[in-house]
Amino acid sequence: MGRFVLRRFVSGIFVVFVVITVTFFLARVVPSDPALKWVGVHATDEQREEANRQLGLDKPLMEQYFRYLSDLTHGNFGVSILTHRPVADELRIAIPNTLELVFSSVAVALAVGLVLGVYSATRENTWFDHGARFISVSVISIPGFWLALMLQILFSSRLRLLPLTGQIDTIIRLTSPVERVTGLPMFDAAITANWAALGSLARHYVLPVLTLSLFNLGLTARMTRSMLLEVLNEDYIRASRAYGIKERLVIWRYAMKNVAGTVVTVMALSAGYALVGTFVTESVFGWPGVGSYVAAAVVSLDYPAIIGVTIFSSIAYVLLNLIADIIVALDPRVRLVEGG
Amino acid sequence: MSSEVVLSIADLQVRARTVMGIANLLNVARLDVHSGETVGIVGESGAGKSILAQTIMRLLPGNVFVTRGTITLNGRDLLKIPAGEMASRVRGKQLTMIFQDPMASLNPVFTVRELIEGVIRVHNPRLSNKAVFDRAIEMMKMVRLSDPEMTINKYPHELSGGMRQRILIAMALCSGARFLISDEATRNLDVTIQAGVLRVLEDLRNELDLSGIFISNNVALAATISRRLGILYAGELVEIGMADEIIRDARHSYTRYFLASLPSPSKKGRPLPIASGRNPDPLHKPKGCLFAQRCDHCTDECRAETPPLHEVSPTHFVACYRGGDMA
Amino acid sequence: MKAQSLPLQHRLKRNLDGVRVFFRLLFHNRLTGVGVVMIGLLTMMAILAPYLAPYPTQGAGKVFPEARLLPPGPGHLFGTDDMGRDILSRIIYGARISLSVSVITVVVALLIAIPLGVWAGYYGGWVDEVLMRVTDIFLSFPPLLIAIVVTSFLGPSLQNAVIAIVIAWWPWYSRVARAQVMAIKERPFVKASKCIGTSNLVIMFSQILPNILAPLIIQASMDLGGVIMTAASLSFIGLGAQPPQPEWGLIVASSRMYLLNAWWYSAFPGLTILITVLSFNLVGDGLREVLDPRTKVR
Repeated sequence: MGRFVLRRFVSGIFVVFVVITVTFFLARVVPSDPALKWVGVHATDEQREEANRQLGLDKPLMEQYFRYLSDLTHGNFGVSILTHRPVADELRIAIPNTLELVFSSVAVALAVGLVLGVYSATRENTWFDHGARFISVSVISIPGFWLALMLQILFSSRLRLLPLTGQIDTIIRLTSPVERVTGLPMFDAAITANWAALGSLARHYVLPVLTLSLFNLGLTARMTRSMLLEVLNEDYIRASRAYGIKERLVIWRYAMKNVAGTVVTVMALSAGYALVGTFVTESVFGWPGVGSYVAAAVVSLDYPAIIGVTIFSSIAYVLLNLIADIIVALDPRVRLVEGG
Repeated sequence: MSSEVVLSIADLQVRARTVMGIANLLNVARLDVHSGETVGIVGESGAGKSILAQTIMRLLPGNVFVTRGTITLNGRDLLKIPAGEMASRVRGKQLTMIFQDPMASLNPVFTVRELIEGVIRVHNPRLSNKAVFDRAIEMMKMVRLSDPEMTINKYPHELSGGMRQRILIAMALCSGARFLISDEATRNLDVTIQAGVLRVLEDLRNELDLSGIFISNNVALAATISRRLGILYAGELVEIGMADEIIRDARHSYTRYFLASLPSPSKKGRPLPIASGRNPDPLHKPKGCLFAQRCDHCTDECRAETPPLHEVSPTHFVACYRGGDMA
Repeated sequence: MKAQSLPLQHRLKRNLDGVRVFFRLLFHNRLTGVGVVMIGLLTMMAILAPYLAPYPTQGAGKVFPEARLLPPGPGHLFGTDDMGRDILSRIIYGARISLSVSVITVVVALLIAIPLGVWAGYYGGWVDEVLMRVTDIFLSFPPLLIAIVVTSFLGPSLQNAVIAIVIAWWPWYSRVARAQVMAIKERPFVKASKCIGTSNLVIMFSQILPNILAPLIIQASMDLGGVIMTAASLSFIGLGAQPPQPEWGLIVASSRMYLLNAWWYSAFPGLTILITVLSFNLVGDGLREVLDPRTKVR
């Protein structure tokens, strides 16, 4: 088991390393003029050369690469060409915002989707099942970006129930700002008993979380249902019933344990999709997280920022996959195969 | 063994809804099991043996349903009681079953301990943890598992086939059921292991005075453990009698072919007889005797109506118009 | 028992029966039928666009300032956009883009993935190792992410979007192909061919390939919906189709500025995407149900 974890860990580091290298060279290969962007279109030639030197762009490519790698290990992700601020600092603020969003939506998707999937499987071919299946398949067909817009129209504009964009009401931000403990806004507001901010944050959370969680909800429901149906057909479940174990126990204690591996995989998948979804969702809802940060960076070809986010994403995905792999490997049958 | 009837199946008809139409799976006129007796049910694959077991346990798949008949266990018709009661009062407590594939019948993500204790706790919710554990070990000893304290913490895939099957038997019996259905319980085991498991079943039957049904496609095997044998063909019970009666003096054409086709040293050098034709299609079962097409002695009467049970001896019945006296 | 070969008519009838059962099972679920019909309508829409669209010339860059942002009504069933163009017509032409993009993407991805997967599965060795590592890396990330990264570097355009999605999608097909090949190459008929000296290449082409094509094609057709969604997402972000192409995601992107005033501008193209992807998903589900070994009759 230990050997397995180590192998996956090393493999993960390898992946991150590959991503870092590939993005570095791609950024240098693509025709663009970072120095020009840095100083602006109206700069003189001397200013541009000065910028070139400052950014280290006049050095040979390999030297730039090693400089870059050593910078990374010191936590220096470069400076954003757009905002002239260190990328690492900007990410430190943006990442917790996105984390809270992703976490909430995965939690919602899991809770609702799991229950829906289980009820669907245990009532196979009833109206409930058909209805739930239709809802699930429809929900995974909805384009996330469109859903965000439609929710805005419906809940913000027409019904005036929820705010259109932003993370927190400006008034609250000025009068009762959230004290930064962990960086996670809702969490910090809760532990500092800042109820005004908490309420405002909650209202702003609803639509983005809804947008991000809907797809995953459908996915979770579908995968849970199909896996559970498979398990329920197995001989060992029939055997449990033959010994007189009540149906409720058969499903929730016995069958669900067999489904646990699938659930973990779906959670990792959901988190992965949600993270990608933040790209669009945060832009539409004006949420100050990694998604909108990189969206702005992509539009203006701000390569240090793009690369910073790419590295963050690859680390995030590698971690997700690693956690999922480890939990799935806890299945006693897998242990036999790995010999760990 | 007393002559009191514990399980009585009467006029049972089971069908299945398939994409291609309605299939006739079972049509059992009468089957009785007496206290302390093991009745062997023998037949080819697809004859309906497993469906019979599942019907008695009321564990049929969703598209299979009972159209007619009664199954009476200890005086109550199992087909009429509500499903919840079947689960909590009947299964495990009065009626239980062991399955064919021990690997597939043990939940792979639980240890033996969790599995056995789980069943014990369901039927004895007030027992202390220690009492439950002790009972689990006791059951494992009863099925002759060596070193139960070590085995109990293992996972099913870490055990051999014979050990798994014994654990299944332990789980089946630990709640006090006295009627045991074995559905091809030794089929997937090596011959030597088979013998061991059979011995355990026989001993348990004698110790606990179990009654039961032993299902198999191996008539010799069934004959060693059963007092009486019933032959199932295409869902119908075509012959039933004492085990040695059937082996010595089978009266139904099908039973004869069945027995004759078993290889044995005395038949060396000669081709084994095979009945011509095929099993009837469950979707389109013909009227009359189901074996008529393939029987050398059939008459028009056979093809017209399903033959009733004809008495050969007080313990031997055959579903044939000719009374099976075509020697 | 002698091996009996059935006469030709019997074999044909058995195959036809199999096909008939297949379709019976497939349409057993009515929703699958709905999906198939919708896809059929969509394809017709794409092919007959010039005849179906009320304003066939409005696909290209002309502007009609007097008809700006008209709500749905007579003459414009889905309203007009900020350039005065009929939205329904643009959606109909958009079907061409979506369908062709998805089919091309999937076909190209298969063309790349199959040779690699078959080679790796059949020969094993370092090719297999390399393929596994590479696909491992790709499969750790959601396809949309890979597509975004690739188009960021290649530059935004519909062609680059296709390339990006192909790059994101082929690793999965390679894995599937490889797994299938590894399962089949152990089968007796392959080993028998080897014994009589058939060359590896011939074996791969004549025996292995036909047997792996079916599941791959089915998987690919189930993916068409996902590809359309990814392409639309890319266009929405600005990395895929460029104006004035009537790609559905792009139309939704253009509608953002007028979101609160002209709901029809964003609603209808998005709804079209939803219905299209849903249809493909329904058919995919139907196929999966049929192929599931659980649905065996006995």
